[in-house]
Amino acid sequence: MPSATDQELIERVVTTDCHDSFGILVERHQSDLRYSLRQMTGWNEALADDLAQETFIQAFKSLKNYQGTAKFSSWIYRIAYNQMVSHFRLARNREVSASEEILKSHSQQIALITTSELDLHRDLAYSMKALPTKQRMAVHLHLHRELTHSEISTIMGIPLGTVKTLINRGKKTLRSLLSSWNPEDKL
Amino acid sequence: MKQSTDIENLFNQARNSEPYFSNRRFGSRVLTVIKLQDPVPFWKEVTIEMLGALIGCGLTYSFFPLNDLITSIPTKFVIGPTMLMGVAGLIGCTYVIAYWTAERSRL
Repeated sequence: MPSATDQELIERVVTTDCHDSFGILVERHQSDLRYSLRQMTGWNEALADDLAQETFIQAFKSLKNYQGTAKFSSWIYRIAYNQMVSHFRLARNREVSASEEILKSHSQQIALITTSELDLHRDLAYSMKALPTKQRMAVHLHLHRELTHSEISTIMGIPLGTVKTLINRGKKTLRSLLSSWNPEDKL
Repeated sequence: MKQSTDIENLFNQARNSEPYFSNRRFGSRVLTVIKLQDPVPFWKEVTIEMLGALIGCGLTYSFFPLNDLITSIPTKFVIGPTMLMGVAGLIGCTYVIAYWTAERSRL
């Protein structure tokens, strides 16, 4: 069964309500999703895992509605994105605007962090936190997951042009934030 | 950052060194929650309820002196004016108490 494709496993879950098949799907995709959600939440492990758990539970409930037109991983990311947006909205988490002042303070903090032995992943997650949620998601999906603009547009449910704008703005902000990062010293 | 591509390089390095998170606890937690939230099928729910009701009825019938109770019920009722007045009074009192309670709880 572990060699079965995502589509075959989904069919098994839908037709026979087989929890084990869904368990294999979770096993296949959980690490990527949990990592991505850590990047989205400023490496907040507890929050990221809670959101990932909610995502899989929601996915199980809505598996009958899965059309199979997009990859299962993209579908999961779409649910995760919605979960994340709802969470931040409920928590009234104000998105940090990329003002000069904030950028300056973040750059200073990142410079301090990189002098310690904290790894690249956490530093990236921390700097990503300065981006608004949409930019953060678009940048992560594009630069880390290497998804196309079209796939990102489908996942986030926004027009293609907006995706490009979000990525460009996000990159610009990250460039300022990570200006003090010296990969040769740390990697 | 010297060049704009440095951002891409940084993400490339992050991607190549992305940690793998163990599924052991996470996966079992997800499946446990799914099993807990899994609704009981309608036919199963109805069958369980019917079985319970049947067992309850059987036990009641075997222990409860139903025949004695039926024979003790009077076969004839004589409704006189006094009884009618009493019943009307009782209904009236119940209505007043219910109205008073409802009005009081609204305040």
